[in-house]
Formats: sequence, structure tokens, C-alpha cells
Amino acid sequence: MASNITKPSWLNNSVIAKLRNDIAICPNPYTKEEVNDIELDGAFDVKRLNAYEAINTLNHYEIPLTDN
Amino acid sequence: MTFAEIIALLSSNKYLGQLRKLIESGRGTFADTFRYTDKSADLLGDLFSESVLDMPDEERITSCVELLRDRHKDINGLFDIAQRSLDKKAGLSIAPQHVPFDEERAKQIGTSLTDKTVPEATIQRRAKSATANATRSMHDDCIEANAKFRAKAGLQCYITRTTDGSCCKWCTQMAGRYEYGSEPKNVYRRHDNCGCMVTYENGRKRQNVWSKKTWKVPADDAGAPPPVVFTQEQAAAAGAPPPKSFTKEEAQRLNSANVKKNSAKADSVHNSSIDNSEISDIISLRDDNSLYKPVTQEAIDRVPKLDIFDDDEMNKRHQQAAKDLLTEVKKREDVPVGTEFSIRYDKDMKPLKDEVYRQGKIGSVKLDDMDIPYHAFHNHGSNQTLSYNDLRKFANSENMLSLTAQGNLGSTFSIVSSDNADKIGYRTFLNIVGDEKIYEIKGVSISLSFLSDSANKDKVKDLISLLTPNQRGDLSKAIISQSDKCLNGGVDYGIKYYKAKLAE
Repeated sequence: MASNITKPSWLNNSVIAKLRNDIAICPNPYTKEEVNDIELDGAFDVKRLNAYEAINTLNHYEIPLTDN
Repeated sequence: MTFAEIIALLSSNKYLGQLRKLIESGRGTFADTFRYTDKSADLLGDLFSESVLDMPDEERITSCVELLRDRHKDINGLFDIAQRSLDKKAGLSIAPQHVPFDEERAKQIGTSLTDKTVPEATIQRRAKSATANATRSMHDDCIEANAKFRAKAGLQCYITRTTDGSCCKWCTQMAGRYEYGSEPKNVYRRHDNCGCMVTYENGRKRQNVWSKKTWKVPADDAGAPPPVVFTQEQAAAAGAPPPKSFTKEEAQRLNSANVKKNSAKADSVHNSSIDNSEISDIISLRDDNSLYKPVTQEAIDRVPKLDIFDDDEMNKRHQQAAKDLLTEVKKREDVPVGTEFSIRYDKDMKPLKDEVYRQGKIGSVKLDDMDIPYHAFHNHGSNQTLSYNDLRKFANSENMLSLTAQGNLGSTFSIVSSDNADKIGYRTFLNIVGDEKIYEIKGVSISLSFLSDSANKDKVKDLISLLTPNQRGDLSKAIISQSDKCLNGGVDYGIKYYKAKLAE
């Protein structure tokens, strides 16, 4: 189904592919609570944060999480 | 490096490319053209300074001229676009004025680089500061030319020059507001490291050309008495000290002191740079206590006021919040130096009910997102700017309007959302930039994400330990450049970086 939300210009095919890859390589993305628990200046699990963001971004713009 | 290679590097600089794109899209302001000018001036100075000693005399002159000619063409072109965009939004249709290239000045600078009577270090300093200053002046010239033309076209134009509060005597004398035509002839001039701000305004609207803020000017008959201009005798009678003439040696000494002072000025926004100690924060060496400084009363007293909000009362409350945070840190003598604290304020920068300072650890602190818009503060014992981790946290905190890192020695750094900020876009930008390879150690690709990843803490230390001092320097430069990109790249997403870096 086509998205009702206008995609911003930065969300091109290359970025979508990157975000989908972030999701594909991480089986256990952070939850919202875990992201909230990340400390300022604190280290974090990059793969889990990238996957959390990617899921939220694609969902926000109603883009499928995979290209299948 | 030849001048053609330097021009190629300037053209391919990603930060400049982003700003160019913004201006060319029609969304740029004079704030952006100045930022572009300022950054390209710094880059030009650095690159030319590195290369000048390898050039024969004749090439030094021609390179200097061609480099400045290239900057002139570039800056005038972008200023033209920004002026047209602003005019279009204001419903004006006035052709932007172009300033001819000052080839004579460029040749003079180039010739000064062939001077055999001075040491090589002086030649390099000239190549850096003189070309950078000439480049910045190109933007001032554009402002002057366009204000002049608009005044002649019947628009009421005023030129305002303000100091940054820590300027030299000459700049203090230049400061003021002048109706176009009555301004001192040197009002557009600047010395090396000059932080003064020149604005121009049309009619009843005034615009800060570097921060794009506008405000209404009271009418001349609004009730203020006319200004009183003292004669020298009246000034003396009022207790003013007599004018002092300096010897050449005194002037040089004062100039040297002022350059040092100006380098420490609180220049909010735009040209970020990060010194080497900041790198240690980024590469997870936070347990090195020597990086951290205790808070002193002097540091609290000198916390600057950033020009972030249109409402200056908000700016004052922001400054006070930063001072209060340091005061709290100073009080807590029971915790190790470098311990971070955080606090939140409401959208008007007023205290939140039941909000208390939250104590963290050495080098990090928790801060929960809220259901309402809020501003967040935390201190940095290293006195350095926001980390990549801070930016990721900011981008993921939906209601966080601003995040300030308050340095223990008084420096203040803030990242701020505008009303139309696109945090999803910014966090994706940070994700992508964070993954970019910036260096390689023994076959391992180094990126900001790699350095920030909790899984890599020990690996990072091991890899860094393999580097020679020169290689560490190269890595530092790469991190600085990439961090600059993250801090300043928010402009495309309605997010701006403000800084006031004070000398330690």
C-alpha cells in the first residue's frame, strides 16, 4: 500500500537500504525504555540503537521494514 | 600542494558542500553565507599555510592571488543567491550588488610571503591569517555594497557593529549604530581573529546578518532623548581618562594580548573546533582523571550568555541555568572530579516542579526524556563540547528542545531544535555519518560509531596504543573533522549548534 506520508528528500533508496540493513543485522534492537536509559556521554550498543532507529524511521514513513 | 589542489579540496569539503546546498536551495540566509565564508577562510588559511614553504617565490604570489580570486567568486556567488532568496521572501526585487575582486590586496599578501627577512614561521602565519582575514572581509564587503545600494534605492538602512565583549580598544571605538552614510569609514574592517558583528537593517526591521534574527526598531520619536556627545573637555570633567598614545612596542604587546584574548572569546555558534583533549573523551579514555577539571567560582562567573533564542530573557535564563549547574557541581565536593550532573527545565527555561539535579558517574550521566517539551543541561568535566553519544541521545529524545554541555571551566555548548526540526532526519544523518570510515588501524576501519560502541571499549584502547604520536595526531584530525560534521550538519534538519569555547 502506498504511504500517505510525504517522504523527506533525505530518505532516498540508498538510505532506506541502509536502514533495512541495520534491521537485518540486529536481531534484538533496543526498546524505547532502553534508549531512554542510555546515558549522556555514555557508550551504547551501536547496532541495537541503529536498528531501533531504523525500525521507527521506516514505520514513521510507512515504508516496509524489508524489501521482500 | 598546488593552489589547484587546494581549490579542489575546498570544493570537495563536505561541510561546505552542505552549506552550499542549503544556500542554493533558497533556504540560506546571511548567517549561512557568513558561516560558509568563515569556514572556507579557516580551511584556506590552514591548507595554504601548510603548502606555502614548498612553493617558489613567484608561485607563492600567483597561488595567493588565484586562491583569493576563487574564494571571491565563490562567496559572491553564494551571497547573491542568499540575497535574492531573502528579497523574494520580503517581496523585494532589487538586484544584488557584486563587489570587484581586490587583486592589489591579494598581490600584497602574496608578496609578503616572499619576504626573506622573516622566519619561515612568520611566512606560514601570514599565509594563514592574512588570507583567512581577506576571505572574511569579502563577506563584509558584500554587506557594505548591498546596504549602500539599498540606501540609495530609498530603503532606510542602518549599519550596526557590536563587539563580543572581549574585544580590543579599536573595536570598542568602532562599535555602534550608524545611519548609512554616517558610519565610520573603518566600520567594515576587521583585524586578525576579530569577533565583531556587523549587521544591516532595512526600514523598521532589523536583521542580524549572522544569526538571521529580526526585531522591530522603535521609532525615532518613541520617547528616547537624543544622544549626548561629549567634547573631550566634558568627557574629562565626567571622569573619563585622557586618550592614551601607545608606542609601537606597547601597541605590539597589546595586540598580542588581544589576539590571545580574542582567541578565547565566546563566539557563539558556527565554527566549531575541537582540541586534542576532546579526542580522549571520544575514544573512551574517560577513566583518565587528568582530563577533568574541578569547577571554580571564576568558571561560574564567566559562563557566557549564548544568543540562542529570540527572547533575550530566555538567553539569560539559559545562562543562569548553566551557572546554577556549575554551582551545584562545585558544592559536591564529595564526588570525584569529572562526575557529571544533569537537570531539565521547561520550554520557557524555567524550573520544573520537583526537578532535582541528577548525579551520574565520571564522564556520563542519565537523563530521562519527558512527555512535555524541555531543555536539558549536563556538565562536562573536560570543558569540551557535546560528544557523538550526546548527539545520538538528543536526536532520540523526542521532546528535548535543547541539550547543553556546560564545561567545568565555563565553556558552553548547545544543540538546539527549531520549531520545524526534523529529528528523525538528524538521527539518520548521525547514524550514516557515524558509520563513515575516518581512519584505519591495522586493517580495522575506524568510525565515530566504532569509537562510541560499548562493545569496542577495550579494542579501541588496544588499537590506539599501536599508534605513533604522529598517527594519533592524524586520527585526532579525522575525529575533529567528522565531529564537526555531526555538530554542524543539523542545519539541514532545523537543528543548530551554538558554542562559547573559553580559554583554559
